[in-house]
Amino acid sequence: MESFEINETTYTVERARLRLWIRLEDIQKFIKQAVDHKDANKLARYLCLYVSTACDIPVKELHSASWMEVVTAFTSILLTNQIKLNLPFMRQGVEEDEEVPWDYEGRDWFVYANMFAKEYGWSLEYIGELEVEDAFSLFQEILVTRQLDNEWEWSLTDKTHTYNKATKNYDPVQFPRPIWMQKEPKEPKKVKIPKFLIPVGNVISYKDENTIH
Amino acid sequence: MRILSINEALRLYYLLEPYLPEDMSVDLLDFVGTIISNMKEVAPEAFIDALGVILDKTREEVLAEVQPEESGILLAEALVDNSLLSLRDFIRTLENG
Repeated sequence: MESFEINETTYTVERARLRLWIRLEDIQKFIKQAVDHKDANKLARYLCLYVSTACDIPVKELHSASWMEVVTAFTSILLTNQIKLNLPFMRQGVEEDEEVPWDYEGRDWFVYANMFAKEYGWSLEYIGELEVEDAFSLFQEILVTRQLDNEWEWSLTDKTHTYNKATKNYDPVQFPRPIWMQKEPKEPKKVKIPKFLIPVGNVISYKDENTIH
Repeated sequence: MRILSINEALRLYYLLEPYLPEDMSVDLLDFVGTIISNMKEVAPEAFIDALGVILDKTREEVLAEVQPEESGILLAEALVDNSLLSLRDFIRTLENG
């Protein structure tokens, strides 16, 4: 377990549970913004807020401590709370223009709380105390279940096939899946071509064509 | 020289940042020496402000109380004691996400 000292008092860093972990992630976003704007006051304030939130240390005490102590504390908390999961739904990048009009500061926690409460009927206190890895794994399972339910409902509608005038046949229409649920395309298999099928004479490949002028 | 608080250290860092040497391989003394000579030449105001941060004084107090010949040594001592290289590394880590 990581520990650090602030003004000669030793603190131990414990791994944050879901609600606190999300709060720390939110503060990290403000730290990144302060760094990007090179704003010393805001950066100092958010670094202290991060440490204070994680370890319940009064902010005033952190402002009077040496910068090295605060940075050491921040780094210890950051390292302790790194998640080692690499779930498929996490690999889908969120683009900036994906922000929705109903978004607000600190909403992430309520998104998870709403999902878990609705799905499992858990209380906010119980959800807030979940292990972060468990919460994310469950979150993905909820997303998968919802997607499969939607696909099932889709299969019962008349939208599953569309008439193709050219072929005079019905083409199947799949319910769209998020990218992280789609199979990754594989490299085509290398197939050996029998010698008698290879053209005779001087064969110029596309690679050679690019170099020949 | 006293160790700065997080607020003071970051204020000092951003005052000095434009004058940090490009060469990352230099040792601490060369690093500090380059910053001070860069600042004295092109940004005397920033130099005085940096002294103000490390001494916890206003610009006017620095001008009235600090002898010009000792100013460079004062700043150099503060940068060494406050391990400016470590602070720079920390902020660069944050910048790179």
